[in-house]
Amino acid sequence: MTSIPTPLAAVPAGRVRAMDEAGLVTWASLGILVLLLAWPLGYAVWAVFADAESGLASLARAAENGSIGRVIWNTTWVVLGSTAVAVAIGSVFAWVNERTDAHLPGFGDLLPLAPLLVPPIAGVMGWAILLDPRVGLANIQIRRLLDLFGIEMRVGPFNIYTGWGLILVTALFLVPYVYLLVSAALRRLDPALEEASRVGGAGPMKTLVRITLPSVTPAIVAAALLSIVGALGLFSVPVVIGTAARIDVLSVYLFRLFESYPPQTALALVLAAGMVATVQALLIIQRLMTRGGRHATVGGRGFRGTRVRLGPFRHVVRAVALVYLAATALAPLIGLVIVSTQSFWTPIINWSRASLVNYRAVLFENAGTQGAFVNSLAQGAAVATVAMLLGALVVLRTRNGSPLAGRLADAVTTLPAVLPHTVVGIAFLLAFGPAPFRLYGTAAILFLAYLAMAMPYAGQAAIAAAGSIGRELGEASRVAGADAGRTFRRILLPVALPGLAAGWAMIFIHTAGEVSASALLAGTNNPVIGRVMMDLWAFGSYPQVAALAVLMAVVNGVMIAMVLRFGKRAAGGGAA
Amino acid sequence: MTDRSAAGGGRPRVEVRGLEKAYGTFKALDDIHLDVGEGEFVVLLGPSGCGKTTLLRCVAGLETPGRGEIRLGGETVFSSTDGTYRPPERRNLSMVFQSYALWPHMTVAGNVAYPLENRGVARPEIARRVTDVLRMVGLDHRGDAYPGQLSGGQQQRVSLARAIVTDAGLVLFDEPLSNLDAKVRENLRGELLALQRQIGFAAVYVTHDQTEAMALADRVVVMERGRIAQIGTPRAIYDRPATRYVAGFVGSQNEIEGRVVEARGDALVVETAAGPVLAAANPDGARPGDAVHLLFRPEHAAFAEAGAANVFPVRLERTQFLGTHVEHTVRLGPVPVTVRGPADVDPTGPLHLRVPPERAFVFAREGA
Repeated sequence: MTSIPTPLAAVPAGRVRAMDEAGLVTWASLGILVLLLAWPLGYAVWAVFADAESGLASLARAAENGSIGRVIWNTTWVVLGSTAVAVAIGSVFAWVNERTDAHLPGFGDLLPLAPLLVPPIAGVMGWAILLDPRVGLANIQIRRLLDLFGIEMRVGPFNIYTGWGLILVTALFLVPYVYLLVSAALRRLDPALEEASRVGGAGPMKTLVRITLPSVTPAIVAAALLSIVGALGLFSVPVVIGTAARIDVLSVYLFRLFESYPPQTALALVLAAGMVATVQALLIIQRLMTRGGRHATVGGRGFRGTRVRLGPFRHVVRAVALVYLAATALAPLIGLVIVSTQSFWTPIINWSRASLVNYRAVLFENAGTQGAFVNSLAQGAAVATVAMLLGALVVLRTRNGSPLAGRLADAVTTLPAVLPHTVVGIAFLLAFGPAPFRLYGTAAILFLAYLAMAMPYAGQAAIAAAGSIGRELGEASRVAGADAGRTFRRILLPVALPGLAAGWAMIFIHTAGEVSASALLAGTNNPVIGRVMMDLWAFGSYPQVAALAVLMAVVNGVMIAMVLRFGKRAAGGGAA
Repeated sequence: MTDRSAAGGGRPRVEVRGLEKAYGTFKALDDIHLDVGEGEFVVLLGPSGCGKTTLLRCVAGLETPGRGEIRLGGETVFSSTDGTYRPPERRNLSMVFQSYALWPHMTVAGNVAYPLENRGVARPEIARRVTDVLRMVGLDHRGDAYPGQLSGGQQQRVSLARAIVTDAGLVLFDEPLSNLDAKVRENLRGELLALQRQIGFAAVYVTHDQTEAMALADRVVVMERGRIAQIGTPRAIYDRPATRYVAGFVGSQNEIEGRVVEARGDALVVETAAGPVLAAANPDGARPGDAVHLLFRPEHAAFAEAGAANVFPVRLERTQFLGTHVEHTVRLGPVPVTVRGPADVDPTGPLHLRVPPERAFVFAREGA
């Protein structure tokens, strides 16, 4: 709402006007968040231009020997391929679950959480353990099965270290985003639109194609663009699969530029700038495409429409959905559990030799892994707590406040979401690494970068939680005699708490398993799980990596249970 | 007007002076003056966007007016001249919201106790008062329940209990019944009025439902586009609407365009497409030659014998049975007119309609 004071007005117009200490805290938090983003990003932008000459020169050199061209070509088809696969899978699941009688209760809650059970880097390793062409555990079982039919194979049948492996595993991590966006759009779409089409003589398929799909096109486009952004910045999948398959993509290439000696900062900056520019261009395109009210989906007020009947086919659809769910959550975990109990990753699993030796090693004997475990959990808890506190404060308190505060809150909670994590890592490395800060390799630089990356989650969770609070709840408290601070403590915060707890758990999971920025920022003195797993994998210490991954899965499992429990409560709105 | 009005003596509970509020160029409130007496029930009535909710929220302190002054119990809580602004928590009033606005994480008793806790009332006293008001709204057995476990009607009762527990003497109502089913709404309306009479708090009540306004109000404030169109008792508003807008908004009206041709004592003769009509009510002071609207209510027109004064031949077009009464649509010359009338009208025979002059209003037609 625009509330421009009239020229005659002696006092500014607006809602409850109270610049009390609570208001100061809000502005201070906003200020900190703005600085947290503005300094590193501003510094990076400045560095791009300051170093543009040498950057472009090295770009030209790299282009000459073809390495850049190859990296960009690889990145393009991996990103587009995985996006296409993810959009197809995610949209179909969304439609099935929202609009057909094959829907499964709880599926919508579990699907987005399934890939979070193990950190992405561990998940990829789990898939590699299953589908390595020679010693992949799943491949071995399949070969045995084929052997019974007289088909003999020495390798395969699957090889994860290929372009297809890269695309499919990347897609697995993108499907949840697509599903969430498309299913939310379907839920908002008034079923009466489709019912009117059915009554008007169109069959279910015609209705799907002519009415449903066009109505949710903006959501699908948004999902595709979000997938592109996500795939572009994804580091864990290509660093494991792409490295072995000798398919370098941009995110990993950028990382190598910093790892090489001397670091090729100028070239990395130019490439990162290009990456960000591409992402921004995509987002602008999306905004232009979805502008204009033609796709305005008027909310049906929670009425359930008739579902499309799939007949006996629905059992097949359900089975596929369940298998998908189990596969994404459990398959890599099973591979990791098996290897973690062995002394070597071998085709032949020796169950009699299974032991917990590796767990003891990573937890108590190896100082590096032990430190990483402790550091990552501490970072996760600290970042989640601070991010949620700031997010809740900023979102809940600026919701009905001044437009400027609202816009700033919007910026700090959405901007990092469109920046690939590798870029965030680079920006923080450049801004806080050298003097006067000299934070490279410290817990502080990790914390700051994690915090910046966590703000979108915190903002989202706070907005969702705020959505469950009508504006009138706070007003009723003010009228009942509580000031702004007391209203926040006694009403807004407790009502929002379940939603905030769910957000906390999500941030914890993402932070504790983060690898893209960690790989750049965590030095050897300050190990974190993501970086350590990457290194151990490169050294071939598979059983130890697996043990670490399983431990993280246990922690994440607890967090996911929390998300499910509190997320439900927040959505249901019921107390007690 | 009534013994409960502002004129009843003592300082008014609410005084609003010259209030203005604008959103950009849109004037939500324009020069509003209003007094609400102690124990008086005032209803703000108008269509959505007329400013009634904005006015209520300004009194509550949830909106800041652009200019003007608000006094509560004689104390200035807002003044644009000296920059006084007292936040809602320091205005000592209560409010009942359309959405009930019950806090879902607190029990019913917890919700009702909250305003007392904020005022630093001692615990035993809180418990006693909470029990009292919950008994008054008939929910003394549901104190431990959570709002989510109650029906809409029960939730609004809790909200009402929360509003009266502090004994602030002023309760603001923002369309409190509009989310409820018709039957519940009627019951709750009666209970609300009984409670208000019993406790004697001043009430400012916002609604767009004229029946609700009529049933509840000591005085009705009809609002139109940020301004007050008329203030008066329900009967005065109904019988003597000050403007064509008020006449049309409260109850239904038949409207015929015409021109005043003659003044006959207090009454006017209006030449219409249906012929000359005698009309006695002339709040605008229209004079011969003026272009006017002639208005009369369906329940005031009646079928009559031909030949009497102000009786016109009409043709019956259709009859609707509406349960409590029957509504006929007839044509008076070229003009369609609604009449509430007897069920037994012979559709074939000649029909005549009498428009009682004392019930026929003349309002000036703008731009003509």
